[in-house]
Amino acid sequence: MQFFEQQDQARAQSGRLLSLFALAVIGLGLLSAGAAHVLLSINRDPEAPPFMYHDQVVWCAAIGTWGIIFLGSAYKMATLQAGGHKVAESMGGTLLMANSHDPLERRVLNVVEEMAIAAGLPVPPVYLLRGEDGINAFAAGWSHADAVIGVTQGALSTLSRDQLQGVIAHEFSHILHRDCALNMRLLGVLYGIVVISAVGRIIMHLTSGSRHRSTKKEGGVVQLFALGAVLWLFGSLGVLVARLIQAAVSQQREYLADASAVQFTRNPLGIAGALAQIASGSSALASPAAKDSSHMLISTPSSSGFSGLLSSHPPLFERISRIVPSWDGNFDSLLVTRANKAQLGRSSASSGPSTDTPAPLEIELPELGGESGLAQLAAARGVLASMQVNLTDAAHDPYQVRALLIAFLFDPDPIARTAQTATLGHDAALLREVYAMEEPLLRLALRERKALFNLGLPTLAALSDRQQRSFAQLVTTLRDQLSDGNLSGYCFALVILRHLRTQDLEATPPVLVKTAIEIALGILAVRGNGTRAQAEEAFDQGAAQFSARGGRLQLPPDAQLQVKSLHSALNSLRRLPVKTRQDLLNAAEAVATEDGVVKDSEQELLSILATSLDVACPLLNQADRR
Amino acid sequence: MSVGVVIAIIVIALMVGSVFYFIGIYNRLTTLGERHKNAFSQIEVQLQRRYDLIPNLVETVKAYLKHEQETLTRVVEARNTAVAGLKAAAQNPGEPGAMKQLAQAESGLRSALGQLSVVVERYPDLKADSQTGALFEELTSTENKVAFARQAFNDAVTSYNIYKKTFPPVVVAGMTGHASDAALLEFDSAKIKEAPKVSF
Repeated sequence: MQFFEQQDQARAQSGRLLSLFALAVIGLGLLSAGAAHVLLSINRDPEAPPFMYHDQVVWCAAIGTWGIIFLGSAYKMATLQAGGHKVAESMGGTLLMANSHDPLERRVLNVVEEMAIAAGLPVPPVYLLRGEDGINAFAAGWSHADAVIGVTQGALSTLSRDQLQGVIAHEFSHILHRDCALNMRLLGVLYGIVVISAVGRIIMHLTSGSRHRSTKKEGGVVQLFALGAVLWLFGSLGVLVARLIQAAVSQQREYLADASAVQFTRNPLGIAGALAQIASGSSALASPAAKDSSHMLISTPSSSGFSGLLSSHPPLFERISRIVPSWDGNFDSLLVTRANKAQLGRSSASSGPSTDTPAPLEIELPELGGESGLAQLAAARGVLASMQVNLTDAAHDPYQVRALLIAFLFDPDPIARTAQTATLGHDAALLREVYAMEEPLLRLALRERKALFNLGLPTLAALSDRQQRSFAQLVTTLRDQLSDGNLSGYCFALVILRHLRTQDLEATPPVLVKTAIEIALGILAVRGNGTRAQAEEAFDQGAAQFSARGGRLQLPPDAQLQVKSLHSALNSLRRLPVKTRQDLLNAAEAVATEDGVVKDSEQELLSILATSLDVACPLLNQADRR
Repeated sequence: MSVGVVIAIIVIALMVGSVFYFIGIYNRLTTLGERHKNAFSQIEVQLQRRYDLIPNLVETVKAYLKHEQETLTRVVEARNTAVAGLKAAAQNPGEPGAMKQLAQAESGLRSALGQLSVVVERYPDLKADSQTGALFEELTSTENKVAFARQAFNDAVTSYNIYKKTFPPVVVAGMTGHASDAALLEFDSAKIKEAPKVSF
């Protein structure tokens, strides 16, 4: 399987397209400047002295164009800023409750949880588009923390479990590669260009009215009309070019997502079958908001045949051929083999829970795929199945999930614990639940614990704003009561707070990127090693991995390596480009593995560090790393 | 480029700005409306769980309570009314009539369950039965969850209603089908005290 190759290819291709997009925007400004120059030069008496502000006006045209694009895109981005759940709500999505009992809803929720574990991401909230019978799905959101996944009722009822898994894995790729953020930015700029042509149209409309009325020829009005016409023309031209590029980028990202779906599921027939289903059915969406979000969907929302260059998605035929190179071009062949296989799988399973039973956390293993991938999926299933059922239920229940997440912050240190208990004292029912969960939680293995934590985060979305605020306050208080040594509890608290809709309660002072990196790696080095000398050694190991531009990295003195400085460090680090954050995580891994043993506490820190940095931390797919 | 041009540009900017502004208000209204509907589904999940528990409970205590047929019938009937009320309310969360109907049905069920728990007190064998105890315990714990979900729903409804009443949105709301307020879901607090509380 060459899905890694395909992924690299798609990435490189979209990189080139993005530079083209930037060039187009710059070019548009220069074009307007040129137009202004021409407009000012024609229609003038050659004898007359040259217009005094010629140069200024020409520059204003360029800067004005860029300004309008900037303002337009800033507005559009501000509306998209709110993140995934708003997009899903605007499309009429209903938030699926993690504790739903409906078999079909249960199935998609389970699939999403499995894929989240396979991709090493927090579980996103799932929205269902109830009225929609077409087969479609989307992912939206700026960061891993506010990503959501949406599916249509049609996808839920038509697709088999494997096909659904392929579709969800495809959406996870969009989240993992931040395609939503990329697309939102492109969409924002596109919108800015649309505004230019709209402004041109408005000017033309206004001036054409006054031109008819005025009998004597007014030079100013004519020029204004011409300005409007030029703006409109360039705007429309710009929109066309930008659309073409955006569509091309989007198509590349779709190929990338298809290839990643195969990577996550190791089952090309799942996603290919789903695409074939779409081809034989429809992916149409009734929601008017769908048109704006076509780039986020798994397939184009309108069935009208404007496929080709302007389409946000490559043709289904081409997509399937890339996933299954041996495909004969007949959609039915994929559907038939799929159905048969599903039946075979069902009859051979001895206990035989059918794919539609709401049996919690049941998963069908794909028949195909590399050994390591199979192991990865099996491990994902194992993690889910081995968890205590009541803990999983608690992670799905908005009432109990608070207690579950608080249990992660409960400090073993007696002094801190007394303070925390006192804080929780006013809500006796909650405290009781926390006590009840703490014990079974400690019995879990590390990665099960982390998976459970990730499972609980999306459930917080069901809390109302007020409930989220009071929960955020509670978590902040509990975090500040943690003992100094409890680094993982502190990180857990930070991640919880980021998943709440409340605005960041406390601003942190900005930290230099270099200092922030030193603090993050330094804390890891000092925690994992007994002596200062050993810590230095481990730190250097990580620093060597990480090519810093600002000079050599130094292990900061212990006084700077307090738990609390980590918060501001993380806030600064999160603004870095994804690539740099990934490098940082690799460096952190080097620090942790320097002494040859990766302690549980180190492993836990690494994974929570990854989550705080919005970097995927695949628990299980070490084998996939190249 | 004269004063006219400047005025034209200002007018255009104002027009574009106000269109954006109104679109923003409309989107916010839709989002808030959608949010309280979503919040209701959480109440639905929890109430549904409660209603699913009741047949089990009745089945378990039936053998002991041969002479209390009337109480059991009342519980079953109240439960069925509540299921119907929940179904109607789920179709249209926030609709005042449906909310009121659900609240009444819930109150009826609560008082029926309260009565059942009083009856159970009179049968020592039944009181000692572990399965009955577990079922009653589960009913009580679901009670907390219902209350929490109801709080979330009422919060969402309140912020929707408040936003609708502020100045520019009130105009947009009238024009775009957000005219009527959504109703809160309030269970009669007097009845909650009679909620099934059995000490085993």
